Formats: sequence, C-alpha cells, structure tokens
Amino acid sequence: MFIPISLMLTGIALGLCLRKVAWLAQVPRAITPTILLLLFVLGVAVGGDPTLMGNLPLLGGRALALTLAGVGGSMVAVILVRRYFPGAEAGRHARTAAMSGDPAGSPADASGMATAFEDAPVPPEASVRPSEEVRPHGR
Amino acid sequence: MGGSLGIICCFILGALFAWLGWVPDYLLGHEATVYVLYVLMLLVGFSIGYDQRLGEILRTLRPRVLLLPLATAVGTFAGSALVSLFMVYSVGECLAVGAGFAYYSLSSVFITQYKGPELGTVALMANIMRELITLLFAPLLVRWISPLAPISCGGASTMDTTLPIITRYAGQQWVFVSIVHAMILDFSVPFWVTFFCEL
Repeated sequence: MFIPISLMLTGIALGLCLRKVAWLAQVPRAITPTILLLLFVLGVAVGGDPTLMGNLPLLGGRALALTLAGVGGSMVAVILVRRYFPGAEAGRHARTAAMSGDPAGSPADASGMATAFEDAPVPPEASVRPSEEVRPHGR
Repeated sequence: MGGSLGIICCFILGALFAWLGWVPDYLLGHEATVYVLYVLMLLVGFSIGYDQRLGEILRTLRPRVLLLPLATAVGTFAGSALVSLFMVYSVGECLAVGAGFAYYSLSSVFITQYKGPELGTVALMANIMRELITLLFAPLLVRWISPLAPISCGGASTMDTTLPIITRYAGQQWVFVSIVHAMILDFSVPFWVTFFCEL
C-alpha cells in the first residue's frame, strides 16, 4: 500500500523540483501508453483465469449495480449541495450558457466561476481549448 | 470516447491473448501489473507536480468548491454501502469499488492486489461504466439535476476524458470546478481504495 502512494508523492516532488527543465514536459505523455499497457496486463491476468472468464457476465452485472448505486448516491448529494453554487439549478441556466457559448469570465459567467473562485477573471488556457487534454492522463 | 474504447480494446486483447495461451507463463502472475502500476504512479505524480497551473489553481480556490468533491465522495460511499446489503461482497469491498471514482486503471490494480482478480475485474468494469455513463448522459444530467451533476458523475475523470463533454453541456463557467473536483478525487483514490480494502 505504501509503495504506490509514496511513488506518487516522489513523483510530485520530482515534478515540482524539475519544473525548469523544459523537455520534461514530454514525460506526462508516457501516461496514456502506460495505462494501455496496464490494461493489457490486467486483461492477461483476467484471461489467464478460466473461472473468472466463465463468470464475466455475472461480474459485469454486479459491476453495473455498483456503478448505478455510486452514481445515484452522487446525484442525491449534488441535489443537496447545488443550492450553494449559484447558477447550478437544473436546466435553463446551464443550457443557455452552453448554447450561447459565453466565455468563462464574461458577464454571463458572473454566477459560475466568479463565485467559485476569487480573482479568477481569466480562465486557464485549458478551458479555452477544452478538447485538449488537461493532463494526458487516461483513466 | 475514443480513449475509452482504446482502453477497453487493450483489456480485451490482453484477455484474448491469455485465453488463447499466447502469453508466456511468467506474465500470468499478478506481478506484472504491480510493476506497471508503480511506473504509472510515478508518472502521474510527476505530471501533477510539473503542472504549472497547480499553484495557480490552489491559490484561487475558495472553500465552497471543495463541497462538490466532498458531495461526490459521500454520495458514492452512501450508494455503495446501501447496495452492499444486496450483494455478495462486503461493505468494505463495495466501498473500495465505488472509491475508484471512474479511475479504473489505478483502482482495479489496487483491488486485484488486496482482494484478488475477481473483485479487481468488477472494479475495472464498474469504473469504466461510470465514465461511459458520464459521457452518454451528461446532457440529461444537466437538464434534470444540475450542471454539477455530470461533474459529480464523472468522478476523477472530469479533468481529462470527460472534460470536453462537461464543458459542452454544463457550460464553460464550470471548468475550474470540474478540474479541482478531479484533482482532489484523483489524489484521494489510492488512499480510499487501500483504506476500504483493509476494512
């Protein structure tokens, strides 16, 4: 348990220390291939286990039940906290904002980001180009 | 969506290769996944530390924004605990699966380590499903519940794979909230998963 977490903390420290080294900006690109490799190896672990392979539909059903329960719980929690986020009521506001394409920081945005963040009138680059991955970090 | 499909394909390919017996035996132990996970953790940590926006985002943060990741975590745990009453898995095991917050790669390896490949596979599928649900239902969640709903549903994926769809349907003003939400959940996944596995 401690090895993976301490590796992550080591990585954070390394990243903080080496920010000045420009070419290291390429390092996060290795994350997606690593995740693909990890999934392949996970697949090998599952495929090499005949009992597991036989039970895949059953396990999938259980997974779906757990997912729906988790998502359902989150949605109830959102209904409870949305009143603390001005502009977060269902439907109208959000859709009009999305459709009119008001940039973050514009007057139309006054109830969203500006209430969530102090003095953050300008969005980070990532919010202008949302199609670009913020961190090349598939899950 | 393309990213998720690639991930699923890699998993299916791995399973197929092993099933057909094309994989050397020494890869069949679970050691291989652990070493790949170690590399991944180091890379993920590095990219968090290296990100120039980290400080900026932390500085401009208001406490209110922390409410949303808190709500996501509490809601997910409550739902998972409730459904555990009807499942063959213990409360701790259900909570560990839920605590992946759509971060399937990391959580399923941890769970495979602690609880064996069966629950690990369930965790993998459950967390991929969570991401797919977010991608597919984001517009409906915004309309029926709140622009915060797809963010909460997306869990730890709302700063990369599901961010474009959230921006599109919830509106750009929620991008910051979405990124902070994912950062906090992202960071918490290893802690929660290992904690619940040891319950």
